[in-house]
Amino acid sequence: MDNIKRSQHKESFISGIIKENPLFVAVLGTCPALAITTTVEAAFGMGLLFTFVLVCSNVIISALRKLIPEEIETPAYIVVIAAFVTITKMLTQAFIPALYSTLGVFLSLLVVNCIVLGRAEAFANKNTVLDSLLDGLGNGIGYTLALVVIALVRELLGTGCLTIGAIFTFIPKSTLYILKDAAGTFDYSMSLFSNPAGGFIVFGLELAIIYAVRNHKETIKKANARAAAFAASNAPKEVSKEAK
Amino acid sequence: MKDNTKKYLKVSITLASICSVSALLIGLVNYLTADTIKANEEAAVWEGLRNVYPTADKFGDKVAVSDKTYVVSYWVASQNEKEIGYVFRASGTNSYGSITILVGIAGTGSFGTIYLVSSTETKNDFVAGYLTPYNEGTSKDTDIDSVKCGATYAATLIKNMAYEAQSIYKSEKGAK
Repeated sequence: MDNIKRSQHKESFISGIIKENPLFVAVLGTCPALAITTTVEAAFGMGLLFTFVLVCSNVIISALRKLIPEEIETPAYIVVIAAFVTITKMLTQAFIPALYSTLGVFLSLLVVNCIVLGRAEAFANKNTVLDSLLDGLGNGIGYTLALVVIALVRELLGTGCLTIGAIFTFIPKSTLYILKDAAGTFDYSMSLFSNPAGGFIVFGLELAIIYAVRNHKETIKKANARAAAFAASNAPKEVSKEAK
Repeated sequence: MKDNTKKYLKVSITLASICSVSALLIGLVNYLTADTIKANEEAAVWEGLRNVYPTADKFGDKVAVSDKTYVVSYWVASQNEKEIGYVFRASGTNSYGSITILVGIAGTGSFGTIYLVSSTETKNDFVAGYLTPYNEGTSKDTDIDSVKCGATYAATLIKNMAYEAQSIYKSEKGAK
């Protein structure tokens, strides 16, 4: 029984990270994914705040799931999510003002983020608080990873370097020059990738790579299954020869 | 009828309770963070003043402006006791939210640097798409009309705020 529960907790946590990644598999939350992935720091910050909102709202909605009448489920979820987004906004504005101004309107738009409301309706209102917490954490980590992967490519190609410490000012600012040098003797960066069009291109290419890998794995699985079936269908004949 | 009343009561009480607890939580966090947010905003303004006139060694007392659509206050920037220009603080809203800027104006009313204090747009896009092309332009008095940056970047709002600051500057100078 404990093993079943443990595997259920593990499944709640893991599935959101890779197998059911909200951005790369479910293709949800694409608007902020294209808008704020110009730098790795902004993407990571958005991911952290998103995870906080998702975990908190999932936990509260799961805890209240038996008290909220069916007729007001969605309005009640929206109120809970909006409250946590407002709290997150205030805390970010107070303690990480650079992140607040970088994310701009997309921080407020978490209220209507389809992943947050989707997890509340699809998971948190049917499962225990612990499972909902793990689901929120898993989906949050999955979304953060996806944002950072897109931002890594966009920042590198768009600016030619990777910078940390510009938004999280408590980290010493440092820049890693890759496609250009600090002195300006060479610069192979392409500003297109810092623009929304570049965001679409990178997101599309990364989706294509992920689906190509998944399709390849599925093809191999099907081929192996066919080979096993073929071997199984031939096996009795060999036995009958031996019997003769 | 009685069943319905009970049902409506339950729905109303539940939603009202959730709203009340949420409001209390938001109020508490606002109480805890309001001072820090205000201090951050003041720091952003002072950083902006230094950005608009980097050579200034002194900014005079803030002068409040009333009865204007956008401009709320201004400072006089000086270097070696000599006035080098005015910095106007203007706030405006459009369909995408609010924008607060600092506008530098000097001489006979020429536009100087525009600095973004806060915006509900994403700051990097706003600065890269609008303010950097303007601030790096060679002729700001014509650039204020010609810089285009797409519908969402509130170019018209910025332009209106800057022109209102210019008219206040001119009337102040005319009065002196």
